[in-house]
Amino acid sequence: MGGEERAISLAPMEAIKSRDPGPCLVLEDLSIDFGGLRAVNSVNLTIEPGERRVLMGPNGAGKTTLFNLVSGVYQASRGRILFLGKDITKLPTYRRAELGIARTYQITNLFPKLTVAENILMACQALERTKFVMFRYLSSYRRLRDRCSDLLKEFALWDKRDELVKNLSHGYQRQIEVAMALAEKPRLLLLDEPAAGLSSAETHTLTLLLKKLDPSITILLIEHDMDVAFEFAERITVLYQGKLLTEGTKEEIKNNPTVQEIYLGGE
Amino acid sequence: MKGLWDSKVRIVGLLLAFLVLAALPPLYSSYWVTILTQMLIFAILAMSLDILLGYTGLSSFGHAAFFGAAAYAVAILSTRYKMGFLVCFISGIALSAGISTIFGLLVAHATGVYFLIITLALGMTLWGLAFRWVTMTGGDNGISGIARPDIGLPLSLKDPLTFYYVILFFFLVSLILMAILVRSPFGHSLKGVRESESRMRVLGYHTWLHKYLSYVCSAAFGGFAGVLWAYFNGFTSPYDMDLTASIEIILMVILGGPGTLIGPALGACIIVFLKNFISAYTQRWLLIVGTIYILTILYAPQGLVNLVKDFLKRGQKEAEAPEGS
Repeated sequence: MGGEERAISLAPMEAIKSRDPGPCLVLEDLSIDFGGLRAVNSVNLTIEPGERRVLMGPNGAGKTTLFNLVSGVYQASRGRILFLGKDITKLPTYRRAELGIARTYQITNLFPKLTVAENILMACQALERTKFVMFRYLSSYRRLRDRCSDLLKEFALWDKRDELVKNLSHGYQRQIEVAMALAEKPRLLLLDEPAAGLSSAETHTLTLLLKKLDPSITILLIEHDMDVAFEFAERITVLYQGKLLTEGTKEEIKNNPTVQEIYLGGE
Repeated sequence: MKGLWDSKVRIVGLLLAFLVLAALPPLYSSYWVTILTQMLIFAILAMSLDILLGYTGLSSFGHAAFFGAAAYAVAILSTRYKMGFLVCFISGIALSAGISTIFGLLVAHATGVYFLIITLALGMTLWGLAFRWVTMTGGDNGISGIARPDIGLPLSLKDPLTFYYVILFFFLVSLILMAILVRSPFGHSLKGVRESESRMRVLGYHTWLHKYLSYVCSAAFGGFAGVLWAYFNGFTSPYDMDLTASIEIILMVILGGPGTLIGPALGACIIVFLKNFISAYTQRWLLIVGTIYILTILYAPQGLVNLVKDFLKRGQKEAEAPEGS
């Protein structure tokens, strides 16, 4: 029921959106300090609904920190975050997830001692009210089970469903990361280097999968691999030392002398 | 279909265990029946802590406080105010659950060592109250003379065997309730908190609330065990809820196997047996507890049940190996 209820409760917002399709995510002058270090420094960013945006930048540029700010893991020191027109700067992490922000982690963050199916189920029931039910078997919820099965099949994890996650290869674990984020039917998906540590074949499979995703989902992707980045997104944002360096189309970024300097000079 | 086979084996095993528990006691002397009764009560207590320790991943050093609080509620109400069984029963559980709703506000934000220390401090507060509030609790002397209740049975509960069957019934009820709880959507979310709280938050779980509710559930079932204990023992004292008691419960869970329900129940049986058996020979029970703890950590860190499970799985894998890899 939760899914439908959510759709209904968000209907007025949907109506507002159809009149004036505002941006999906807006960062205004966003900053965070860790002691003396300003990891993210006055970043302004606007992402339209359904957009695929890649966030690039060398190590320590503040990309993951930016994700942590948007998903609520860190609280911003300054600035605002607007999601679908709503100020979410002060909201706790779980409230942001309820509003439709899902993310994956650069360093795999799953439930290692649970099976693949149990991991996916955890994500499937995350936004349902039934997650508080204490005296009924989880396995008796057919709708949840069906959705879990669909996801397992879609991500080619069906054969592995009863394996413990900790026993699976890195490639499978990365897939589970993405599957869990999608299980929540997010409006904004934050993917933190989903291809990190994958072989080129695995990366290819993942890229195909990402390209197939529902076009209404807005996706913000951190990626080091330029090939993946250029294949996936129309627009690219480059962060450097916590600041927004430049933003543009693939060609603009490819030909930008500063970007070339950072990337080639840095290596 | 492996899961189905597993669950069949489990059901057959549980039925067998139940038959043994139901059929054998009449053949034993009342001494052994009394020990078995103790085992069942502590099994409920150990399972209740396991909701917190094994499923939510929070080790509480003050669990005996809930056990003791409920026992005191029964003791005070039944001896001083001559209340009936039902009132004592409900008030005992309600008191433990009530205290935990307040304590929970203080502990639910913590994890790991911090959780451990806060629960230790809060548990000791209740112990101190039981020890010092002499007019209400009798202080060090405790409260004696709690009569076995009249619960409407034609038989007298003073008879150890009859009382044993009543406790067996309550044990089964709480086992079934907890078994459903840990397999429910809520129980599933607790395992998630245990494995990765940060991931749970990002998925949209209000993890504080889940930990809080887990703490309250655990305390309520602990209180349930405390009520039974008061009626069984006929006596409560601060020693039911001191640090040693809390540590013994933790040891039961760790020895048996956290994250399973049968494990802690088994651990409780072993500890209760040893405690009764060894106490006949030596005063140094704490030394034995320490030794068991060290041996468990060294040789069966996942507990006995998981040790056996791993052993069986390895046997299965070796049997399959020639055909497979």
